[in-house]
Amino acid sequence: MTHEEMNDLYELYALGAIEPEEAGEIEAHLREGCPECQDMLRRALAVTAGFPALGGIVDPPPHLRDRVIGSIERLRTSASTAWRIAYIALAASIALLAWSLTSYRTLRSDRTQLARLESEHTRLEILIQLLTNPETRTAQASTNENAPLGRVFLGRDNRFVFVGSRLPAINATQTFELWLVPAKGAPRPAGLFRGEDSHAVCLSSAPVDLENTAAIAVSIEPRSGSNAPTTTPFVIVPLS
Amino acid sequence: MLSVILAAVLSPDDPDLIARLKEKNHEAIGEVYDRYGKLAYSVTLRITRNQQTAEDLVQEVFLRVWNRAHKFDSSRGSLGMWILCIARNVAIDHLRSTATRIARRQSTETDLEKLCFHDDFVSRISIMQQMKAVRAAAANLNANQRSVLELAYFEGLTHSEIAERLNQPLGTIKTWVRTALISIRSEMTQAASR
Ligand SMILES: [Zn+2]
Repeated sequence: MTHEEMNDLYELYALGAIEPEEAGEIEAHLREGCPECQDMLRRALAVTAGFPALGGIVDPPPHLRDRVIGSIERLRTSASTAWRIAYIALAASIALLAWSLTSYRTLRSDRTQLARLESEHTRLEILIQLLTNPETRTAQASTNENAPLGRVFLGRDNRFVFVGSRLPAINATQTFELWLVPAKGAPRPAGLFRGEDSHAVCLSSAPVDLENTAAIAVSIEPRSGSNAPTTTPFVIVPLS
Repeated sequence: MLSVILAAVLSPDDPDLIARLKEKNHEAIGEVYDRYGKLAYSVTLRITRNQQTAEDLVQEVFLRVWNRAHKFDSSRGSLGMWILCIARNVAIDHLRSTATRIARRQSTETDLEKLCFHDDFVSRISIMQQMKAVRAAAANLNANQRSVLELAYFEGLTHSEIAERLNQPLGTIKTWVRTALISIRSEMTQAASR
C-alpha cells in the first residue's frame, strides 16, 4: 500500500473494520515509526470518537438502571461474602493445625499419629510463614458471578497456597487436583485436596517451578489423582 | 435534546468519580450509569436493533467497566469514550457471534480493546466538538456515504463486506468511504480552528 492508500484506511483501522491483511500491513508500517502515519492514526481516532453521533440517542427503559446497578451489587456482595467465608475456612484450618500441634505435645505414644502430626506441624509452619511473609505475592482468578473463586499466595521459596471458594461438589471417589500450567506444554500435577463445604485451603505438595508457570489450575480427578487433567479445570489462576 | 445529552455525557471527567470507581465504590457506578447509560444504550440498540438484547448488553458493558476500572487510564482518553468503545465492541461481538460469520476476525476483536484507549490527542480536543462535527458533516453526506460509515461503525464491516451487503462494486464502496471521511475530516479541522 502507498501512504495515500493507508491514509484512507486509518478510520476503518481504528474501528477494527478492516481486512486482516490490510491491518497487518498498517501495523507493520506504524511499528517502523513513520511519524506522518502516527499522526494519521491519531486524527482517525479523534474522528471516529465522534461516530456515535451518526445514530440516534434513545432513552433506556427506566428499569435498566436498577438492573445494571443490581447486578454489580450482587457481584460485589457475593464475591466479598465468598472471600470472607474462604478466609474463615483458612483461619479454621490454621486453628485446627494449631490444635493438633498442642495434641502433638501431649500425645507421644502413638507413633503413626506422631508422624502425621509432625508433618502437619511442618505444613503449618510453612503455611504461616508463607501467608505472613510480606514478599508473598497473590494472584486471583477472574470472578464471574457464582463461578468458583481461586486465589493463590506465592511464596518466595516457590511454594504456594491455593485458597478456593464456591468449589463444585465432589463425591467420595473424586478429589480436586492442582495443576501447574506452563506457557507451553502439558500441565504438571501439584497436589491433591478435598476441601470442605465448597471451600479449601491447600499448600503445594513441594516447592515448584513457579518461574515457568503461567497459571495454576484446579480440576476434578479420580480419588488417587491423575498425571494429566482428565476433566476441564474449573478454576484457572493466571500468574502474571 | 441531543446537545443536552452530549453536554451531560461529554463534560470533562470528574477525577473524583474515576478514583471512586477504581476503588469499587458502588455509588460511583450509579453515577457513571447516570452519565453514560443513555449513550451506551443508544449505541447497543442501534447496533443490535433489539431492545432486550441492548438491555442485556448494557448490563454487560457496566459489569466490564466495574471489573476493569482499575485498568482505565484517564491520561489516554475520557471515561465516556472508553465506555462507548466497550459498548460498541460488546454489541459488535454479539452481532458477530449470533451471525454465522463468527471467528474469522477474532484476533482483531481483542485488538479492538486496545483501541478503546486513545491518545492524548483525543482528550485535548473536546469530544463534544467531535460529535458535533461528525453530526454536521453527516448532514452534508449523501445517503450512500452515510450508510457506509454507519456499517463500518455500527457493524464493524470491512470494505468488502459492505460491498457485499450493499451489492455494489468494491471500488464504489471505497470511493464512498473515502469521500465521506474527507468531508468529516475537513468539518473537524474547521471545528477545531473555530
Ligand atoms: Zn507512513
